[in-house]
Amino acid sequence: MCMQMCVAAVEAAASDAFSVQRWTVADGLPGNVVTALVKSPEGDIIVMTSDGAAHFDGVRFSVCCAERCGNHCDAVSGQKEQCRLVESNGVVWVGTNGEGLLRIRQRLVVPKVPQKDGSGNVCFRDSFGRIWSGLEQDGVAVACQDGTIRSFSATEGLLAKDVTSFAETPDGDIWVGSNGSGLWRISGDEAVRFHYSDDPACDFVQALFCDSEGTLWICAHGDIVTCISDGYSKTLHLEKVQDSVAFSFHEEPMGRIWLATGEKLLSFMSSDFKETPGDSVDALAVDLFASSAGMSAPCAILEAGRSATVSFHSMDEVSFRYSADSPGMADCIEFATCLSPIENDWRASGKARIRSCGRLAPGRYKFEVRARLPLGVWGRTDAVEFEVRPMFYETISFIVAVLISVLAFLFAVARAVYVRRVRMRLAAIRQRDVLSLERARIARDIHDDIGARLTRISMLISMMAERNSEASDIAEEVRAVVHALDEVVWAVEPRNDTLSSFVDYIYHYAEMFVEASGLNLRVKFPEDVPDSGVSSVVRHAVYMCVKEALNNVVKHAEASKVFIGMVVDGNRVVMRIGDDGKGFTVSRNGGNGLHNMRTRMESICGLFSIRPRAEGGSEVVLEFRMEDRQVRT
Amino acid sequence: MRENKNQIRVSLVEDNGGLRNSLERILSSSEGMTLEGVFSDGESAVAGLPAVSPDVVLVDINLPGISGIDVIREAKASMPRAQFLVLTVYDDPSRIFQALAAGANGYLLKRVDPRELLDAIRELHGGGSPMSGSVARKVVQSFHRMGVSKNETENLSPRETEILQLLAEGYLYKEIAEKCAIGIETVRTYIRRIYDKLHVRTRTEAVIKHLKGW
Repeated sequence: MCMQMCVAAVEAAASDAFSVQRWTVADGLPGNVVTALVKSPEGDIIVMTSDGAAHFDGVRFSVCCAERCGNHCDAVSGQKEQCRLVESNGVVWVGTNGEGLLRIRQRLVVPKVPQKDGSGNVCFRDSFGRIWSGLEQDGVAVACQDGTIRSFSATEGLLAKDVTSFAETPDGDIWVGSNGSGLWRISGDEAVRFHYSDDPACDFVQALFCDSEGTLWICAHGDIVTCISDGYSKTLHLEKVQDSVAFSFHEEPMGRIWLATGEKLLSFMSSDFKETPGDSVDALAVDLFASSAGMSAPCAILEAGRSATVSFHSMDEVSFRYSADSPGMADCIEFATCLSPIENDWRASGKARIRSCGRLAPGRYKFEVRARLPLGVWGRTDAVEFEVRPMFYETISFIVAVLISVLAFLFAVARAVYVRRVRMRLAAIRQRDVLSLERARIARDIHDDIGARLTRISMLISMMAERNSEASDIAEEVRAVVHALDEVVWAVEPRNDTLSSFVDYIYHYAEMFVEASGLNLRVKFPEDVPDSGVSSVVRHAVYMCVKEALNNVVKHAEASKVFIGMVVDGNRVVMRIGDDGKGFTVSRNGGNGLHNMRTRMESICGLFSIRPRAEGGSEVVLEFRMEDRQVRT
Repeated sequence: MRENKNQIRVSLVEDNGGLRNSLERILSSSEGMTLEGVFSDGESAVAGLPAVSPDVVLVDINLPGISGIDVIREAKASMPRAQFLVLTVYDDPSRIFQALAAGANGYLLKRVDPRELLDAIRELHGGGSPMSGSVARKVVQSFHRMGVSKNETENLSPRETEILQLLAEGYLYKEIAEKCAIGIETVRTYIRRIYDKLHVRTRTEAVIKHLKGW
């Protein structure tokens, strides 16, 4: 057991990839059985051995306070200590054989966890401040900061007996090494046995350690140091020394790892182990099938570790099937999947071996899957990249084309309607203009030519009439013809198509007609008459009625006054021709004139009535409508 | 050169040759008036009338080139004392009123008896100013549209307004004289003054653009 080794003697170990330094009794260690390694509050390393503790100042070992601590503990408990732990605040925890866990602080010893049967042979403080204590018979106990004690044993699924070591990985899981019942992982309230090697010797875990980079170091029976990092493991065979026992790890800055064994102290660089990739712990081969709904055959079958590209349509229901195998544990395999870019983290998929993603929007996707044994290490990731192609009606070019077509159609319709309307309006205006021009031309011709000639005839005859009495009758007749022409010209001239022009003419006619008859005229017109249009048809009809009404008054009413009045209300015009004569009788003019007036007014959708005036006499009421448009002559 | 002080010196502006000849014969053969200056178009009338300086000018409204209304406006400015009598073939109230507003004092239909024509010239020269009800109505409208002038003498007096209003409602001169208890000559004087104010206002207010609407 006592092998003489030289300090700093570097030997080629089973693997040439790293160096190991060894120290023994000859180099100043109190004993070769090293039971624990702790770091003192000052940062020095203290080595616990079966024969006392030694303090390492970086060069050599010197026997130190272990005696004192050991004596103290012995004084308190009388039991042989099994292990101890020094906290940075000076508190020392001591595991005893058969006396449970002790806490020593300021030289006070408080029994904390009295064990009924087991022995506390290892203790560990995790990052939450909980103190884990290994029990020889049944699992582990943990003392929390708030003073509660909790135990993990067979009832919680932890079948580890004779716990030898603890370690905490950065994910917060506590790893428990046991002597003969393997390596266990406690995640939350769950404890699962961790399979990392097929070698039965690995069930004898002697020391665990998690270095600052999160790599878990395992020292198992048979000089095996296994490193688990990033889901991969690598097994190292340090030395072929069958009965040696490893007790403790320690890490120095710059990645140097110290390992205390039953017969020697080893030192190596952690980087030596990490440079070469190892095998997957849970070397689970994942087969991936991508398929769309309605297709029995998969679109793509992937071999483990390969990527493939497949395409779908956006109408396809995309699903993936995957499988993995692990001898004897196939039913326990858990999967995690990730469909990027929709998901940006792994999604636990349980033990299901199919995932349906339904319909996906067009775009590029990547589906990844990985597998592990329960609470084990995730294996290698398999992935399939695929593209979801849009259906033809989802493509931008199609949508743009449809939009353009619709807009073009609407534009064309609107334009056609507009053009048609403008053309019709233009045609109407042109027709009206043509008509107006024609009417104006006729009026001018009659006036300038026929009018002038007739006037001259009238004048010549008048001069003749002084000598010939018959000639005066002819002159009178010619004058009547000129007057009739006047009326035609006035009716035809488009310039007179306004109410104001109409009113002027009515007044003008009335005063000439009434004056000649010797009656008196009373006129009541609004001072300002709107320029609203009155078509020549309406003008002519109303004018003829006014003429007829005035004629009736002069010839039949035996009146002394004639009243003409007009009221404009919106586009409704009411015209009254009254007298102060003997009143209205139907027989007065044989009814024929009245009938004519009524017919004329009805022909322009107007109203005609004749009634007695309150002041005596009677009046004719003519009502008609103007056009809405304003006329500017 | 004036033959007689009582002779009325008349000028004629008429484009229709036949009618012009007839009128020339009627005017030159009548007692108490001499025909001086006969023009067949507006431009020559505007140029020649001031030299003739007649008492009464007969103007046809419808002339080739510038209209009779323009002739009256131009000639009235250079000969304010001359009386203008408008000749028209047919009754177009708005045209007649435009001529009156431009400076004419009366109008005649061309178809009137030659005797009536001569009577009208004599009446005009004698100071008479005929104004019918329909013309009065348009005068009321135009004063209303022009608003109140800053120059007080250009506005109608209350009495003038009253008489004009009565005229517009169809009252005859003699009815107005009775109603207002004044002589018929006084009514004529008022009407003449109303015409004068209308001519002044029409020139100063550039009312042509208003009148165009009528």
